[in-house]
Amino acid sequence: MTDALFHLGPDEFDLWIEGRLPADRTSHLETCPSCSAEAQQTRELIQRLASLPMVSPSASMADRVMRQVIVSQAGGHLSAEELDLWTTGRLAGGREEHLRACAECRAVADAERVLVRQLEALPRLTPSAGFAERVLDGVPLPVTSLASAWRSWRRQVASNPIGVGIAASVAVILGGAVAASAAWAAGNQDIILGVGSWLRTSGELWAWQQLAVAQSFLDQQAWYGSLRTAVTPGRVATAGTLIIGLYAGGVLALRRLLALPESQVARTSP
Amino acid sequence: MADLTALASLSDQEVVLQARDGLEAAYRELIRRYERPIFSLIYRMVRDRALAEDLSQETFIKALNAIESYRPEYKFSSWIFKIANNAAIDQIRRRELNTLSLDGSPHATTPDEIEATALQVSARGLSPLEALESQELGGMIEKAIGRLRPEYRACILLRHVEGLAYEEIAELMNLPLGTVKTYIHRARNELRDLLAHTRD
Repeated sequence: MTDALFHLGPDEFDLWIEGRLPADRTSHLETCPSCSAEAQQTRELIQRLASLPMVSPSASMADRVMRQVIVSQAGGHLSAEELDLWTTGRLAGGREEHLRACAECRAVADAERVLVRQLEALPRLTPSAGFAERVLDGVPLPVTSLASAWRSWRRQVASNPIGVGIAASVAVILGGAVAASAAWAAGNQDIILGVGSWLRTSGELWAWQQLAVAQSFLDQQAWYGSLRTAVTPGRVATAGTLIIGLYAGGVLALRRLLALPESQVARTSP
Repeated sequence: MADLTALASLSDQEVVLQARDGLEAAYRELIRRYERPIFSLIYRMVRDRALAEDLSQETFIKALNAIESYRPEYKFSSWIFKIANNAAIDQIRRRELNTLSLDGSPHATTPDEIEATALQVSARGLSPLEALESQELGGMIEKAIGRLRPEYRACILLRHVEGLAYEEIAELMNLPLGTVKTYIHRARNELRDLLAHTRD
């Protein structure tokens, strides 16, 4: 331990100033120059703070506060809140008596009532015709009728006229092309059938020719002859069985490896 | 039309539920119920008919597009008035309409100051729209309302024209109840003074 641990703490300085410091700590204070100096400084600071002068608010502060305070004593003038209650017929009986007797309050209350009536009589103003339609143009509604479908289409056109224009042009071109094709096909079925027949015959011929070329190419390869000798039906069957067996074994092993332990499986019902 | 007749007897909350189910007639019913109150509030706030039309339209589009997020435990009127009031206050702050009022600066307190700060439109004549506005908001009380601070204006209109309770106004304007009461009392004092001044 060092001497520092025995110095007085801030709370003990407070106790000393209040005269409540225990005797053993007081004896330390009397013998320790460091604690003694700090105690004196603390006492002087507190004395200076206590002697600071009071600062007064401006003279009108009380008036400003009182304007916001509900005056509850029976003899006072009506507050703003009470005037409000009076205009709605909810002023307490005692205050009604004051109002009847006080000319000043009555004048203010009468003016208040006139003003409130003027405000309440203000007419409701109407937006221009078609307001609801303009609002609904900006609200995406589900298409449940022809009218709503028409509105939805109009909204899309209004929001992206260029996009809708391009889409409409493409649709017209494609539709025109399809219609022209259909019309031509209806009048030239013999040509279409002839072309179809020629394509099928030519396709079949071409496929057989390609197959014959591939076969002759394989026959010319040295390894192909030995492969044909080596591959017999019995060997193919043995290799197939082996491959299937290996595949099934692998699947079973994977399932066992990937399965969670029973205790860690999440329960979906109690 | 049968839909509209049946919807007219439902509460706002019930109509909102129908709108959520995609019934177009329910959307129309909500617009029918609130187009005039919302337009009146916004028009008296911004004091420009064309702008009020745009802001009212924007208010309804915003509200109806967010109808799924409306919580039925609150009044629909408070919800839509809140959207409308925010739109109007934002617009006023953005464009500082209150300093460009045809009726002069709201901070002007004497007839000379009001005249000095008012926009002079007589030289070029009034357009039909301006003439309509002049007629609609030309009464003494309308002019006096136009000179109030936007927050006071919103509070006094919501309280005495739309008949909302103080608590509702406090909630929709995100203000403490005491502040709303103070605003309304001050607005009434200013209106009384302005109207007395005009009569003199």
